Amino acid sequence: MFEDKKNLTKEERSKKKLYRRHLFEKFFKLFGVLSISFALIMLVALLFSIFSKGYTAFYTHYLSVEVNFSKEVLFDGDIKDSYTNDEIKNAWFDNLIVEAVKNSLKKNSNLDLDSVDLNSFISTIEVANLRNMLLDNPSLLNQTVQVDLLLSSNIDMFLKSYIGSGSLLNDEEIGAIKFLQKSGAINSRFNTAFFTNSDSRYPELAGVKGAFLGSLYTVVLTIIFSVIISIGAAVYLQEFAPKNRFVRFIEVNINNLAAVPSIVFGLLGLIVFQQFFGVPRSTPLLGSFILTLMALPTIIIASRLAMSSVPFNIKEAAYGMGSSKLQVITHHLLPISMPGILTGVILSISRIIGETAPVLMIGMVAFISTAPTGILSSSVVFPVQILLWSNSPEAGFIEKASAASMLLLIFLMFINWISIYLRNKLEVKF
Amino acid sequence: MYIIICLVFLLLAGFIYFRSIKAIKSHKTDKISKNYSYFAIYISLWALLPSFIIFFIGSHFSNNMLQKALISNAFSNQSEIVREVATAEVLAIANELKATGVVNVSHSIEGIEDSFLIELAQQYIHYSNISLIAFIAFVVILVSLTFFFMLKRVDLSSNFQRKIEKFVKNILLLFTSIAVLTTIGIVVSLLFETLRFFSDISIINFLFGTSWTPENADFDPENSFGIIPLLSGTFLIAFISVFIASCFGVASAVYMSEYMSKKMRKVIKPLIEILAGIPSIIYGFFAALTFAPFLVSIVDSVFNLTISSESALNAGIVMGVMIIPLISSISDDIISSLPNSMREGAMGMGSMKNEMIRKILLPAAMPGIIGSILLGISRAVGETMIVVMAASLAANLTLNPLEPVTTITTQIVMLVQGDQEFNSPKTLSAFALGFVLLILTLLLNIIAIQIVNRYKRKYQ
Repeated sequence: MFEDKKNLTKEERSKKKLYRRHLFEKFFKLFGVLSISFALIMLVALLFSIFSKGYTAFYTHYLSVEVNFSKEVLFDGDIKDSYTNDEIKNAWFDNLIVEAVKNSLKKNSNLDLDSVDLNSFISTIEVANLRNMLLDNPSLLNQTVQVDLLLSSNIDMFLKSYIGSGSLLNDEEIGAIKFLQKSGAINSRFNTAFFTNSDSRYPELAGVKGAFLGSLYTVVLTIIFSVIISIGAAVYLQEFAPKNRFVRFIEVNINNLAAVPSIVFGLLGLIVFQQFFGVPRSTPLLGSFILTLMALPTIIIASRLAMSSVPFNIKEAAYGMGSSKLQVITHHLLPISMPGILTGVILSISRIIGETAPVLMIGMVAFISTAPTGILSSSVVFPVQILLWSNSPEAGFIEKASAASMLLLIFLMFINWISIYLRNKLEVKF
Repeated sequence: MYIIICLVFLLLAGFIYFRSIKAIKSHKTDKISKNYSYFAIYISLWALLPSFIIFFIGSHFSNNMLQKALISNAFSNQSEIVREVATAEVLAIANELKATGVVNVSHSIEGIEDSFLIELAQQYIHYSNISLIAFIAFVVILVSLTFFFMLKRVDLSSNFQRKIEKFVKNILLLFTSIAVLTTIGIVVSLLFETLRFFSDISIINFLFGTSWTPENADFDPENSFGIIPLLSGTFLIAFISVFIASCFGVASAVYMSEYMSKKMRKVIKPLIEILAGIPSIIYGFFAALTFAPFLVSIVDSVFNLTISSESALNAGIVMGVMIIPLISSISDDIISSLPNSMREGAMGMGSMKNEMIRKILLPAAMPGIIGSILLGISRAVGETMIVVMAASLAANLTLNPLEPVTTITTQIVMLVQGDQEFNSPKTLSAFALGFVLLILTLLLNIIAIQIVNRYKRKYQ
């Protein structure tokens, strides 16, 4: 090899070197392209995995059956002409449902119905629904009605092919479902329960309303507190603050606060707000206190940036007209810098909405099946609801978690789009 | 009830406002500013604010005192726990009575009659109403007294506009100091609880212990809180994530600022920044449910290795994706801000683009890039949700990325979520961990910001 190099002319050697340099240039560029595509591929994979799993939660399956409100089944042989409301309330509606499903399966004679757990086919909510139907209209007794019954989550998951034949469903049950599907008794509908219900023990009944309201209360309170405090602080630092050591200390402080891990804010809230000031645990009020402190540095920094870009001659003109400092601030500085402040507020709010760790610390992580009624009632927030569902082993809850993540992502993108739109629309250029 | 209070205060404010305007109009001197409303606002602020504060603090305390006097005394012969439960019960009944007017007591307490509880609740409502009305009356009298006093004593020739501005300035200073108070609150509260923890567990065992088993805290407290496995796990995951993020982040920053056309860059850069806007809970969900099974199957089929589904590699890679935009956008800003003369000089000497980048641009931008990488490490160390969902819960002292490890933040979440006894070393250890985390991230940040700032000054 050494020999070779010596034999080459100078021209050939430099050509070879140039070739190598060009090759390296190509590799260098390729690595850049690869790393950008890695980031984009991960983004697409993340969005795809969540959207492809999540969208199925927006519809659910119903079984259309003929329900015969027979006195025989409902009252276990205790046949009378009329029944009191209490008797109807305590009647055997679950047997009625089992009977109805069995009837619709009987048309297929080769199924062994004994090994099919008919109780687990229909959601438990339908017992209450049928009971209310009969209470509203007692004349339905001994009559046959065509009703759509909500299928239980396991069946729903099988129909959406999340679970195959395994430990959850035996072959006979799968045969039964397939028969029902083929006979056209199963229909799918928009899943309103997902939007009108709060959390539930049953995946098919679980919804995001409670988490949505919890997040709404928390975020609205956070916006109120943090906007007032941080715009005030930004105005002070920008307009009033003397250039002394204390003010510099405050500035360094604000920058450092922005870098404190969110979980530390949770610990702060736990000790100071919950233990010391006695703010009730796991309420939107307590959550908003912590999130306000987290949002402060971001909004203060963004607001100061926006205010410092207001040209000095506007202020000077106002002072020249005899305005006081407060008038200059409220009449000129704040209105002109509002787009920038607004962008900062929206961006920090979009971070706050997805924040999970600090609210875990103050106990906004529990099974709560009712929507919160105010800022002092226990609640969960949206991202915590995702955490709770994704920790569950049931496939139905995983689907719900994906759907909730999907809603959260869409909402955050919407917010970001609004912030960009507002910035472009309102921005005043000098 | 709140509506009535608000109405009373509004009426008072309105009365004072217009009354003071009337007063100053009837006062005939030349010196008074023409803008009467400043005077009125000034007087209203002084007359209303102190009473307002007294009202809120006072009504809060009076309720507490009423509870003690009325409810706790009634159960004075009971044990403390029963007293607490009964107090809570009576308050709940009172709330229900206030809201609906009827009450169904089904959850009775042993040894206490339900009717007695309801009677107490009614008494409580009665007395709290009386105290509230008394308070409102007191406040109204106080406000009117201060108002007339102010009206007599205030020097009408002074500049009230300036006085109000001073007042507003002080309020704004108060808002600003909240940021400082937060820092003080974080440090003091964490320090206090950490010291309580170290009064139970020796600091040597905490800092140098090699086993983290808080579940054994009851029978072997000294040896169950060793932070070494947590630190190793935290830094293993942080290292993997920052390694991935800095390789891909810097490379994409270089490509975007040096090779890409402006049009492409306008599309690609926001796309990559979407990654920064996705909440970490969604990354955690993705890591635990989609990426972990994928990684297990890939590692198994390609490298023929067994990898845990809660491995450090899994959490690290997903966290790395989250940190890419942080590093790439800072690096991009820094590389783009380098003076064009550097590029032109290098190209003029006949260097290729990659040589120009590697030998001229990157060395010049290196301090800033290192700063961004340090910021990335501090982000990775403090990141919670990804590791809570994707990393293991049991501590494991290893540096093998295929094995499950746990992190400081995961343990804090586990310990605080469990029992809420604030005296057990188990819960207190969470605060000690929080303190360690705070110091780690702050140190990293201070160094990073210093490096970035020093660099900025050099080229601008």
